[in-house]
Amino acid sequence: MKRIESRHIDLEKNVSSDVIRLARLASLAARIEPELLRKLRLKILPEADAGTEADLWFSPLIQTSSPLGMMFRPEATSELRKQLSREENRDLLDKAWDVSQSIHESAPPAIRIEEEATYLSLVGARKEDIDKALMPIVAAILEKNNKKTNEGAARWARRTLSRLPQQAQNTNSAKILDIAAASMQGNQFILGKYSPEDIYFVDGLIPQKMERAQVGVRLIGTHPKTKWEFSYPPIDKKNIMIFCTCLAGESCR
Amino acid sequence: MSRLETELSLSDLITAVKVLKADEEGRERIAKMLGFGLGRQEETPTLSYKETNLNGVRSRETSMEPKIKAPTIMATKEARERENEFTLEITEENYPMQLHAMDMPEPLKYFSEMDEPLPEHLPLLNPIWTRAIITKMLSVYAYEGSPDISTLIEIISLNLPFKQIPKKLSTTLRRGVQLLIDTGPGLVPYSRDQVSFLHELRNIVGNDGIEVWTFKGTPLMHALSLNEPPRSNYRLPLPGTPILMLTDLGIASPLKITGMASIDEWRKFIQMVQRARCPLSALVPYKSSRWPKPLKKLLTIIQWDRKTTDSNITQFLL
Repeated sequence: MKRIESRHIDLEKNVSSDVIRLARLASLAARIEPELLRKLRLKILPEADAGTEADLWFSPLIQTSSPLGMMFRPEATSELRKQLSREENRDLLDKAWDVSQSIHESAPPAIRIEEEATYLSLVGARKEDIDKALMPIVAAILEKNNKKTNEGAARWARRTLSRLPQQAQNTNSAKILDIAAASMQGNQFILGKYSPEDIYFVDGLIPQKMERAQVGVRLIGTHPKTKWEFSYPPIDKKNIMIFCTCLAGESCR
Repeated sequence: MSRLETELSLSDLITAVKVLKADEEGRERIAKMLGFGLGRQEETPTLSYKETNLNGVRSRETSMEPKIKAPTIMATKEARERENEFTLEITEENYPMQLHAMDMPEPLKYFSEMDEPLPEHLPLLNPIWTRAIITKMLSVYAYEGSPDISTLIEIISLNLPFKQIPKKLSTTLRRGVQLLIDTGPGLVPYSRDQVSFLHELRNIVGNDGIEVWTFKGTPLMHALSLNEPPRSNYRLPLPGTPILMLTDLGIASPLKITGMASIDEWRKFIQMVQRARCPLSALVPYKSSRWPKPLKKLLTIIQWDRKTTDSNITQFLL
């Protein structure tokens, strides 16, 4: 019952059927609190007992948990969402969406946007509709003279884009967010590679970028004792790497 | 040649325009030859703002203002120094992302989760039955009912001394309750239920009648009194006082958690309570088939769930 593979999840073999059904419903949500599990169980799975909630909470499907909420492992999330999006589960998906909306009525807008984008992706909505759902975050990351909002949106993008369904990841909004967040925080792209045109375009829209520094890099020594040497300011101008100069714990978290 | 292929090519364009002293039309022609497009200001794509909410119910396009100017790409340091002379701009038809199809809503405002109210909580027990269930579980029998007329007549007819008015046996919450809240890791998903249950209990029994302890494992392992003065060594209540536990009796098995109470440790605690003649009961969120068999006959266990009603708990009361 507790066996779990690192990359592949065979749901039926790992946990009981009630737990799987509850997990499937909860996979739609961006944030899973005990209150959400309770309402999903009572409204959609009334035959499951209260112990199902704890069984899910402590199941191998979960990556992290705290008294405030829990998070599925990424591979479990994608598998559960795939199951929830099947045609025969459409009614359950709609019900789960209703419950998530009601529980997260007062939640931060970023949470609700993530859930809406996820729901629209799972029901097979048009790409334009998913784009539209993500637009407030794009507007936030590009807003001028509002560093706090820009950075908040960038952090949201770094945290959320990878766990959105494929349909949402393929939208222009997601791509803009990915490029802008990577540019602002000096990190790599999450959703893949982009053309230089895309990068230049989004880079020009970003209101405030992180300060950059040039660092020289070269290989020293001979194999097998070859080492990388980094220098700042760069000693060797031939090989330069550009880094974001923000401090860890500030903007680059 | 790609428009953005290298910085050198942009530099070449700037140099060519400078050397040839071309006018606007000439600059465009040179740029076109080199694979560039010099866009005019009105050709630059704009992102329009649009007010909308999440459900798209309130959707109103306000205006095309403010417009976000397309990015200006300068080729080299030399070119940047001549920024006042001219700028290179990306034209709409060359944009890989079709942004003109999007309307920009109002940007999100900064929102601290600290300001977020708690989500709606549905308690484990059906609110309709909660009062009745608590009363039934915690009531003890005492001669505190209405006067026992038959006994009264008997005393008078036998001409016995009248020491006190005999009363009928009835149930009462007068003895209060000692509430033991399991705060172990297995109860984390139910922590808000524990708080709301305590609140409900205070409404029924009254603040003075409740002694609250939290514990991990069993009350004999790690306990902490929430009443004044704070104590960390568990103490039994007065004999006859009902004890109610909100616990999972160790059924939940969080991964990598040590220090869980064994059946023997539970048995030791239960026997201590029984010697003190305190009725002991437990609310457990798991169905009866999962309750530890050795403990089933030692204490009253009630399923802490919606299916529990005033009428069906009678079967569990010892």
